[in-house]
Amino acid sequence: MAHEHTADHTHDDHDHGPAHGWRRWVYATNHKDIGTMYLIFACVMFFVGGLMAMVIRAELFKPGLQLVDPQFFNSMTTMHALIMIFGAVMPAWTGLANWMIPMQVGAPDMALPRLNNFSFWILPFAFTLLLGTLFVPSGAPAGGWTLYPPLSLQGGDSFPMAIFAIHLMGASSILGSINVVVTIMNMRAPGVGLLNMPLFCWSWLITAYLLIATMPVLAGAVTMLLTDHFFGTSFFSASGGGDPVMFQHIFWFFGHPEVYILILPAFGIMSEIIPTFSRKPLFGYDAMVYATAAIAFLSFIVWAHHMFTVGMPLAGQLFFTLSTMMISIPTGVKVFNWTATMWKGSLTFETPMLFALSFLFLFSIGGFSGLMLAVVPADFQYHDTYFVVAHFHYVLVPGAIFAIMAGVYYWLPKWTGRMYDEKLGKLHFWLSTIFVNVLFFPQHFLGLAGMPRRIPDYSTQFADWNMVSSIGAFGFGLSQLLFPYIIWKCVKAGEKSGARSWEGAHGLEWELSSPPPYHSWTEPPSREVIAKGVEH
Amino acid sequence: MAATSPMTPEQINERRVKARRTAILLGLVALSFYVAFIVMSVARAQ
Repeated sequence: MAHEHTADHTHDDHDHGPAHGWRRWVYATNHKDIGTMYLIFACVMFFVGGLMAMVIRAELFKPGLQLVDPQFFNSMTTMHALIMIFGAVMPAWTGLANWMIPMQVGAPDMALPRLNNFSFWILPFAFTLLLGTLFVPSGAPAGGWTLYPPLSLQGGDSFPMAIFAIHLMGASSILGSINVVVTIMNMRAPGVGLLNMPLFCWSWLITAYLLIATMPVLAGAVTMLLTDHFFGTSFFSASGGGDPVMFQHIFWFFGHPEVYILILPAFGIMSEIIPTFSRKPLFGYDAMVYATAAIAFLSFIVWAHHMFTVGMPLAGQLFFTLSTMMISIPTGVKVFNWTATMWKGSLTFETPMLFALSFLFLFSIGGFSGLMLAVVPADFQYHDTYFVVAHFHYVLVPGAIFAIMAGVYYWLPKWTGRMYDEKLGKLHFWLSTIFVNVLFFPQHFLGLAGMPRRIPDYSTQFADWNMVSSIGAFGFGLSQLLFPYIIWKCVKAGEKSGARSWEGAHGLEWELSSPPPYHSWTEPPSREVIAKGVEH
Repeated sequence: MAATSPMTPEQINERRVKARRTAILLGLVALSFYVAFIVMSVARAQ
């Protein structure tokens, strides 16, 4: 067995087990330990951000101001977005990358383990700083996660804290991405080629390049905000000859690829789970790789579709409409290939597959509403309404977050050596899927009826659907408490799992024991193991 | 049964050098994006 393999070949510097106590975590250089810390951190941030969402939905339960003042409401929308994007979804992906990439490419660990430790430990400081803004006299940032000047420059004491926190998050992401690229490019076992490695690795490789190219752009933008605020520059101040619209261009040059940073690893996970539970190889592996690369490339040339209402020449409007619509082509290739993979497969519907199927349907709804927003005249109607809120939440919640949950359920037996409670997993799935639709689908109607986003009070004509949406939010929020409970129960008392936890699973990670040894592939796997593990 | 022959110290060292080189190169790419966008904004503001 693979476990024997790792135990038989000891290296001078690899045959030790984990350190004990707090040292194991503070000085961690093992990819599994760091992956676990990332995932726990993401889970905590998911609940912190979720709590903020509950405040927002409680305030919007009925018209009028009842629970919080408008400034705090705006802080909640801003902080909810920053925490969910940078604190929950991105660290969750990095955690999954840390756990899975070395095992999937036959490497003993990430290429740069100390840098890996540093990337993670930046995050708690960044988010302590960001959450600390809730306690300064001026209150937390309230100008929206897009930080548009001049509004964001009026943030008081919280402004430099938020900017520094964003710099730290960016540094963490860049360092984590460098580690992913270096690991995949340099640490693959002989025989694991670029075009036969798992699609989760491919999607992360492309995501890492996106991060390396775009996070510095955000860092540049917020640095300039900082100098405008404290050092008398006028990059974005019209009174000093600067241009506030330029900030929007720079921000969205980062911001749109960021959307794909949040969703491309989800595509990778779908390409792992759907073949496993269809008991068929993935349909069109090469096309999936090229489609992912095409989506990443196109993500760099669509940024101004976020800014149609700012005003731009007709040629610009046409260019950004068409380039945005073109993204649906490689995305359509992916949806087609996942569907073709399931076609005539021996499908079973365990929790990871249920979340994957839900992703497929609900992410497509988010994609279609995105197409509607790409049409300039329609966007003039929809811009800054709840239609946009519904659109990006369909992409990010049943899209990115369902994929993360699917990935966790899929690999949990591998990580822990124990199976989770399938009944509870399915209960979690059904409650999540029902409530996520009750929560977000009515927001399409609200947006089409003209309800603006980021407001604490609204006209009585929007009352009914807001109440429905808030009920969905409370249900969704409560049902997520099942998730950590299921994981805790699995770790403590789950049934033992074999090396290959799922009958149809392929990939080098399934050639290792469950749980895998502390150091996975201290020596590269043999050609036979690779052939067995990476067949498509 | 699962492993191929262990990597020689030379191979491990070569891999380490390549990894370090790739990391530095990617770090420089990230830094150049950061600087380029600030320089572009400075040029535009003048």
